[in-house]
Amino acid sequence: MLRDEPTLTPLAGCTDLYVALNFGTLKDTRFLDLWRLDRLRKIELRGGALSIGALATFTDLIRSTLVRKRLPMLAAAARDVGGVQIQNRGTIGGNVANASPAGDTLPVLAAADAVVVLQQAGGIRRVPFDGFYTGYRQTVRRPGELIVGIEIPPVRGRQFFRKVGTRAAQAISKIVMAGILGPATGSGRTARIALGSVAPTVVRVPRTEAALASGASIEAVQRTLMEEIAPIDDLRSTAEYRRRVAANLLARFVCGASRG
Amino acid sequence: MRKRRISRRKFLEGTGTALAAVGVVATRPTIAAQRAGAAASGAARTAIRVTVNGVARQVDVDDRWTLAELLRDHLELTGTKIGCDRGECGACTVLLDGKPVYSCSQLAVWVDGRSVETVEGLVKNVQNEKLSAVQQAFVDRDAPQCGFCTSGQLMAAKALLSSNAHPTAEDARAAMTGNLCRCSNYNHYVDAVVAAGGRSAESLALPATGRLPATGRLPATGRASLSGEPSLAIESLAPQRVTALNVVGHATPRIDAVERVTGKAKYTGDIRLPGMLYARVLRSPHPHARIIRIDTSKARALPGVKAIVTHENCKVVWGAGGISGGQQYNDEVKKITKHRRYAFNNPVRFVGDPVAAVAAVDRHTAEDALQLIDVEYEPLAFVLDPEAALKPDAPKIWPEGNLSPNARNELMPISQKRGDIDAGFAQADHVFEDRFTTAFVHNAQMEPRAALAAWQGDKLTIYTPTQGISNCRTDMARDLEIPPEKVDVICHYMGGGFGNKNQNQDADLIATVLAKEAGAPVKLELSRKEDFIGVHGRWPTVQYYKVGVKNDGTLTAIQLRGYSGMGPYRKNSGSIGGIEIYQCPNHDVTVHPVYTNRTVSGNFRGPEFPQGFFGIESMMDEVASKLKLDPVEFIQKNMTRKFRDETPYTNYTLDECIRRGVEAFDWKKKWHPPGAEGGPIKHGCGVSFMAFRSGLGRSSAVIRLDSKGRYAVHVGVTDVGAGAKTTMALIAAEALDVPLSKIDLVWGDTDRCPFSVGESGSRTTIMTGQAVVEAAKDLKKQIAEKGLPKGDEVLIASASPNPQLQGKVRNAFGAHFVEVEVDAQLGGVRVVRYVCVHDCGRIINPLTADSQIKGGATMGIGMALHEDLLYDRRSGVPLTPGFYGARILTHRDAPPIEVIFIESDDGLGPFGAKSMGESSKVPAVAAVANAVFNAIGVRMRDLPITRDKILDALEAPGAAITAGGRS
Ligand SMILES: Cc1cc2nc3c(=O)[nH]c(=O)nc-3n(C[C@H](O)[C@H](O)[C@H](O)COP(=O)(O)OP(=O)(O)OC[C@H]3O[C@@H](n4cnc5c(N)ncnc54)[C@H](O)[C@@H]3O)c2cc1C
Ligand code: FES
Ligand code: FES
Repeated sequence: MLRDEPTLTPLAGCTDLYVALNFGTLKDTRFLDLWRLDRLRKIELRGGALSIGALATFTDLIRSTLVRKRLPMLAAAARDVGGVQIQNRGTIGGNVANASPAGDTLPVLAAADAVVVLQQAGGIRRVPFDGFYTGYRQTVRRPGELIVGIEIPPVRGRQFFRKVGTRAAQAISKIVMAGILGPATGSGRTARIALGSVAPTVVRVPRTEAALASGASIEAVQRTLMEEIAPIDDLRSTAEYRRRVAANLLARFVCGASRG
Repeated sequence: MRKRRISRRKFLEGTGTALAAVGVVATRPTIAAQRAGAAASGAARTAIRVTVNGVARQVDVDDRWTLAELLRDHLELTGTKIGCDRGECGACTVLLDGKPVYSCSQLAVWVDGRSVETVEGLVKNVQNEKLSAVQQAFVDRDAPQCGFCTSGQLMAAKALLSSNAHPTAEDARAAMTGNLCRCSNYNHYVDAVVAAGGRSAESLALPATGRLPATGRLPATGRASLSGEPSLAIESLAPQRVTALNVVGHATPRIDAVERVTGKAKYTGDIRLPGMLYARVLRSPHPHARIIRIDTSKARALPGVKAIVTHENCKVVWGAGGISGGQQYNDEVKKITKHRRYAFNNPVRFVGDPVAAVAAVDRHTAEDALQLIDVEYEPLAFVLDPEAALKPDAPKIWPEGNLSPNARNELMPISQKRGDIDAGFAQADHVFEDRFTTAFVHNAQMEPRAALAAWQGDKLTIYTPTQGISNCRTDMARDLEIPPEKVDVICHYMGGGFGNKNQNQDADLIATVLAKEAGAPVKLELSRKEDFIGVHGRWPTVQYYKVGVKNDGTLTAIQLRGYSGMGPYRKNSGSIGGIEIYQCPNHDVTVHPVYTNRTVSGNFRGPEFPQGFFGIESMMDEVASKLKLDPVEFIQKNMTRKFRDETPYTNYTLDECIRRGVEAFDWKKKWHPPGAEGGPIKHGCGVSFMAFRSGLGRSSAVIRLDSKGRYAVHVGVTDVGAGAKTTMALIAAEALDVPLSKIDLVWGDTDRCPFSVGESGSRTTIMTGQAVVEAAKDLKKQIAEKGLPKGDEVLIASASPNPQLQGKVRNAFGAHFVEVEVDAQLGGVRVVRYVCVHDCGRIINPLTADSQIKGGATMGIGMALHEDLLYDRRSGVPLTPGFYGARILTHRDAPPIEVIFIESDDGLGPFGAKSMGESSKVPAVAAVANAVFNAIGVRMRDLPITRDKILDALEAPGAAITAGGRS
């Protein structure tokens, strides 16, 4: 159907779309309701990868033993989204498609090297998370293409997720970080780190990751990170705050602090 | 606001059609074809099957309806409330196939084939209306204050309890964090849910233990609440020991608690009249602009539109909306007020100023009509900050300039002087100066403003959530220039107000003129955003202090120069309170209430005090710290002992409040010199104290006794959430010496109730309560003289006492002790312990009193750490109107609050009761801020104390690295 009318806007849990509507920023006028595509709600292992249907809700993620076992940081991220009511309706596909730099599951997926599965009448294509976002609220998703699922290859190492909001709950992130710290390799440690709300899109920080792998001191790695990101001042926070807190979160993560 | 945009109606039309169409891809996704230009009344309908509270129904739903709208407007299930209509508050929570969802953010067509459960379906047995366990727990623990969030909390709780039969307090907070409570009764909600899960039954004893022997303390077991959190203690003060009474002083669930937990309580928005129209208001998108032209012709042509009003055809003055001097509105004030506010103003002076209003056959048509009104504005220069507004070159909001005139229309600041300030500074060993600022925080009561106006001939009936039906009536009569007898104000339930539902509101006037124009009843409900920008919040301030002090900590002089941002209309005083709680012979206070092009400021729970106390108590905490004194010692040395060092108090318990707090909190052990702790997580302790007016005054009550032995107590209260109805009933039962069950309360209707002072200024219990006591005395005398009524006889007693104090001042006292944990790496502040000690005189109902104190303290934490209304400096547009943007506290933010009452009886007021409603908000902000200072050793001078500000304060550049992450 999207083939016939590629301008239709897909609609999943509608939690973001409703907000856009209320703020008067919604331009679209024609919608495609996906909610009842139960097939796209499955969470399963497929060929070693964790495969999550686009319509899996945050509640589904929190409750899934597979997610909790394989990707606990995703369950943690889902738990920090809104309240239970939003968790019951908001979907991972919607979170990814909505492409907000503050989307809470995005750093998790970025750090985990997830793959976005897109489907169109013509067939399926898989886009690595790294290449999915092209700019502020922009993705490589073509008109007429649906996100049908997310695939996450096996993750080895310690996982970390921390969202920093204003209030303790129901907050849009001032900054959010996810990370995976692999086993030590020679002098350094492999790490995959992603941040939200510090750039127009969720970002990985390859220079910081390289610094960690090279075995640099934590202070040096923190400095690298503070140079590597270029956050901005906005309603929720200042660039300065974000830079410092990114560095502090990194230290907590790497030094294994349990306290968030 | 005029925005070319897709309206909700169109959106919903589209999606609805989507479901109706045939599936093409996999299962049933379908196309939304927008139906261009559907007539107002002819939107597409879809037949759906839905099970509502166990009953299978088939309904034809309009494709644009939300589930909340279907339930409320069309199935008459009004227990589900709308607090924001955009997924931010939880008031609309229902269970969809057993899972909690926001019914405001679901389309009705989406629930086809599903099952919906609402608060009305919770009662265990519909026949005998037996409450379910969770409802009963809500009643027993006094979970609902105003009750507007209650249905949503119940539904979230129900879902939790069905998946986790014995939740912990933490489980409850997580499950209910999507449900805000602005009365901030989070502790009681959590307790109730834990109780419903049966976690620790013995602590149900808390409300049930009720009154203690006058000499005693609450037994230790009675103090622990279900969630294991410390709760409430009542102590009687030896010299002023209170004697035990029969009814008063026993913890009693609200007399209307059952209505509040079953969805039966009818709030203004729940009322429907035959032929009723719906109104919407078009508001200014500019902070300051002249309206050149308004063209309503297209809107008028829209089928279903029945009336449109603008400044061109409505010249009604909203008297209480703009008052010289910001004093209580009356005929005299009306005459002299120059800077008048109309229901519709031209020029418009803030973003949100009403420009036009429409009444139409349904809400969607009214909304559509707004989009068809063409307004041409000439934007004018604007100013947002009070200090900037006083600069000579600032844009003038009124011809006389931006300093708001006083009650005599003189362009003078508020000023109050005592002693000789210069001499005071000359005597000082040290003089300290500092500047503090506080933010605009919105009352953000859970129920948005609503009004339903109906004319019958020349008589107006207005249903409106108001904190004072009597004042609202006289204000309406004055504004409409009709006799007060021609106005009936009705308010049976209301969802909070905290001061912004005092008097009448422009919404009342707008609904009224539309109803007149259309010849039909009109209901106007403000959206959350409109409520945030169109209804007032607390005035933001800038405060400059200069304090002279001797080496031993004795104060010699206090000077305050302050600026309060009032918005473009002066509703209330704009003063900055607090200096008077320190003894000092030399004072000099000058406060400038200043016009700005922001949302209007006005009274909010302790109007001038929480922000003033933040200033003065931070300042004094700073002075103590500079002198290396423990702040408690400094307070004890300098706190008020007589009002303004002159007039004795009717009784005085401040020393006792502080002593008890120090002991309960273990202050001596906990407090450390500021900033003394290393490590990334820093603990700190803060203290603040208060003395707050508790005056006497005029109010009335009527009691009618019939031959069946029922006492009908007529009082003009509305019960904003503080429990006034129950308090009045308890006082009546005590004064009449009859059981509570014999009392019928008649309230909330000016045609049936005598004058009441209104639920503002913490006055109802004292003033209306005293009238009840006097009326009861009269009735007892009549009974003694005439005997009990027989047959058709009735006895009617009334009283309108107006007691005055001679040569004394009556105050409530209190002190708050707070421990915080500051995360020096992420900037967060967590309140880990909170002890409040209050002398509110006699505690009429320990159960609701506990809610009041906890609510105020919790709100204070929000004001200290989070709340703000941010503006875009370039456009003058508010950026964060709403619960999310303004960061109202959630379940997860609210710590357990421990309450200790020091009961006293000064022989005044009803059985010695003093003011309570505002008390606990007043010192809370300062106590939290002082605790943050103690933790980090840096003074936070600007509210709110956000994470960003804390990191800024803590860290010289590069310092982010120092903590090294080991915690
Ligand atoms: C009160 C509230 C609190 C919130 N809190 C948080 C939070 O804490 N953290 C957070 O990250 N987010 C939060 N959100 C945002 C939102 O809930 C999430 O982004 C959610 O994941 C969106 O999912 P959805 O299914 O509701 O998306 P929808 O609103 O249905 O859609 C969002 C966008 O994605 C598109 N889309 C949806 N599904 C697909 C698909 N399968 N293929 C292609 N395009 C698709 C839609 O066209 C639309 O543009 C909150 C929202 C609200 C209203
Ligand atoms: S969340 Fe629906 S009304 Fe607030
Ligand atoms: S009781 Fe929760 S908002 Fe009033």
